Amino acid sequence: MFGCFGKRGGRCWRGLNRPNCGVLPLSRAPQGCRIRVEGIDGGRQLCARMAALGIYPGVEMELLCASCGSPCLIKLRGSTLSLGAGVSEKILVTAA
Amino acid sequence: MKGVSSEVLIALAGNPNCGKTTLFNAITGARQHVGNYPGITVEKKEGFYSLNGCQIRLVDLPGTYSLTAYSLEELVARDFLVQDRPRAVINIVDASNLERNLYLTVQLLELGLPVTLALNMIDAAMNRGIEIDAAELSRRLRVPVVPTVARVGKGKEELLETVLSVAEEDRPWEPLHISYGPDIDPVLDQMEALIRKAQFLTEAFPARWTALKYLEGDEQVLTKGREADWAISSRLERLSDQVTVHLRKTLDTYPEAIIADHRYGFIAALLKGGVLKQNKKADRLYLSDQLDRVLTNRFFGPVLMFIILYAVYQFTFNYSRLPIEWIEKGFASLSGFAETVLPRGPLKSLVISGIIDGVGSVVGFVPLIMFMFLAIAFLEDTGYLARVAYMLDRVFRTFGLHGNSVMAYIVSGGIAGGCAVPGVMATRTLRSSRERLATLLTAPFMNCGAKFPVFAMLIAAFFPANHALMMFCVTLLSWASALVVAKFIRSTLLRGPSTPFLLELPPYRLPTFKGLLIHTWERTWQYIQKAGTIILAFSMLFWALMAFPGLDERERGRFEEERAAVLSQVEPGDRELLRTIGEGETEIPAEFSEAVEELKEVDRREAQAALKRSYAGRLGTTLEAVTHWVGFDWRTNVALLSGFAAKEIIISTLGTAYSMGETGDEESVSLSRRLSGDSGWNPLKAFTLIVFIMLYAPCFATVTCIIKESGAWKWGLFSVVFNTLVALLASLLIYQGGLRLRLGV
Repeated sequence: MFGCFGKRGGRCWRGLNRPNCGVLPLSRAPQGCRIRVEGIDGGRQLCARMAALGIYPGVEMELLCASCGSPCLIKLRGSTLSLGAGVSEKILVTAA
Repeated sequence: MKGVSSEVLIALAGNPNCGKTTLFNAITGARQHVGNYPGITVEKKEGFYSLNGCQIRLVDLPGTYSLTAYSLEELVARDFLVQDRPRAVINIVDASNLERNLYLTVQLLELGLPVTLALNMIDAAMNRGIEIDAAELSRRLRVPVVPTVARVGKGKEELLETVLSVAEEDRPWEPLHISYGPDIDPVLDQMEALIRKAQFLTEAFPARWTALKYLEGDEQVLTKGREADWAISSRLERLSDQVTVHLRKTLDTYPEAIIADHRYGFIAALLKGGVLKQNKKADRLYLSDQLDRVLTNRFFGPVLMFIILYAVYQFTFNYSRLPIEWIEKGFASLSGFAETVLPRGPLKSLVISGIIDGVGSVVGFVPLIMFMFLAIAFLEDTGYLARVAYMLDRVFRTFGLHGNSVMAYIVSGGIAGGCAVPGVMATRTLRSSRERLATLLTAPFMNCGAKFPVFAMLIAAFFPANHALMMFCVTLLSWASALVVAKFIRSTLLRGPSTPFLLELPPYRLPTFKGLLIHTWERTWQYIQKAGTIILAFSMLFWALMAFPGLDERERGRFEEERAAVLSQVEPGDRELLRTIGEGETEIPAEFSEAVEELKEVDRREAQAALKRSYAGRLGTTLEAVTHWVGFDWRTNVALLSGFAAKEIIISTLGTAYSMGETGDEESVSLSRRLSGDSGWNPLKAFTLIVFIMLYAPCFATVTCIIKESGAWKWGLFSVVFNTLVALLASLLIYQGGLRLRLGV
């Protein structure tokens, strides 16, 4: 818990099998892992907005800092994005 | 087209943080603000550049990720492109994040715009192991591609020449045609045919683009379409609804998702086969990320943030002290010079009390403001300010605001300095109108560059030992008030849920010296301009309000009698000598000192009586009925009234009020020393005044902006009345509480 970058490369998706480890909202994904976007469970606008930011199904990114009530940080193709809880709970991800 | 021969209109479009404003500055050398913060260039900015005898008018569009109608920036950019129809568009893309940046490019091309691609930050991309075949990319996209490094101006000439040749070609717009797959394409073709046949909105948009926007449910285009032709619009909407329902049923998705998917597919195909080569080392953490590990750390981040913000104060105060002293001395000697040269009378009073004191007190704070802006520009250009927004979002959410509200607060003066006018404008980055209004109404509580000198003066007078610390506390207090009031507004007048937080954190960059200087100078110059025009005018207006109508004959006669009574105590031969002492040059013989003091006392009382009788004095006196509860006398009231015009004027009005209360033969004492020596003032009163000034009605300029931004007069009026009430309440609590507890009395 100490620091956002503390547990890089730690155990991702603990207790879940790697190939089909299930889909989680980004807000509950473990930090420091590579993740893949499975879908966006929001309205039409959110879909379009996320796509413009480069977040769409199939994209891989890294969760630098999990939310825990505050915005989470993701690393996506060299750019760092911070997403509030309202957004990150609607992005469904899986381990990459 | 009119005036084609002389001027070519070119637009600059791109994602936030791709170096767009830097390139704009490099080309035009324009004095304008470059931020590292998404959405800071909401205003349309223009610059001029001459090339080969051709005058280029370059418009810097707001940074956007797409051309949907999601945010105000996107609408502004889209409207400009469609309505003003620039002859060419420079689309600046970040080479190290090409895929996402091309998403906007694709949309520009779908609109049919004559695009030239500026492949910016090509050096940073190479450092990250990214190789781009610009020639092949240009061939595949069928637009010119020019690699640039905007920071150092590399590729600038070539880019401009390319763009100019594109503009001179002046070919008709050719929209890019992308396939959107079996689910969308048939209906898209059908809609396109329908639009083409009916000439529906074709004067503004390409047919296929309109069809796409109907599928995306774009509100602005839908509204326009319904206005233009209700029947066609309904048919298009029906077609779009059918597809949407079908897609929901069969694929559980929206047309937008499919459209985005195919756009990225198009981009991926574009970059295949060696156009974009990414070496494997791209995954490692770069310096910027390493810095973020510390600077946005959950525990060290906030601590470091407070240290950094505190350092801004220390820097500002310590380095500006010396130049301020020079300026003060300069104006004091100017005042002394006017004192000896001008004859006694209203003109002398105008020059010394109205002009020199008024301007001097304002110009005296220019160094302070300059150093502060330099520090802020540094934080902005390095990219740290975006981290502040990220870290504070959680806090802001609790108060019903948005992480982006931080920007409005900071620009308004959250880091002492700034101005509520651009601050109010910065709220355009907020999407939800409730959060936006709450930010709009509370941003003026921040300590803008105009309130700052007033606080600095009062602090220098009453809390000289803890200058920087006190200023820091004042700033914290203004944040606290703004947040508490925002929470109050959000849970009463503007109740409703918060919008999601979305912000790109730009990589840390070392700001360019030129960029820093441009920002600092631009903001400082704005302040000086204001000081030179509005403030001088108001300083004189208030001098007039305070100098007229003056005492009537009877009262003047009474003071004359009092003077005669004093003079009657000395020998008749010395009376003339005593009268001239008031002029300042004569040595005072020791035996007359008592009589001279008495004469001065009479003069002082006369001036005071005249001021009290003046128009401003009368209004201020009337207001004492309310303000005596917070310890303000009519002189403070007069100053506060003048601050309504612009906060800077508070100092000059107080200065005018107090120097007019003297006979003027003493050495010019700076206002802060004058106040600290006044028996009517004490630290408690000074602190109450600070709080009142912090919270009460925003200046006219800000109120105008609030009206403009909120689109309603009532919010401007509301901010005047509501803020003043909040200020009165807070001052009342502090002053009466302080009196009870005997603090600072």
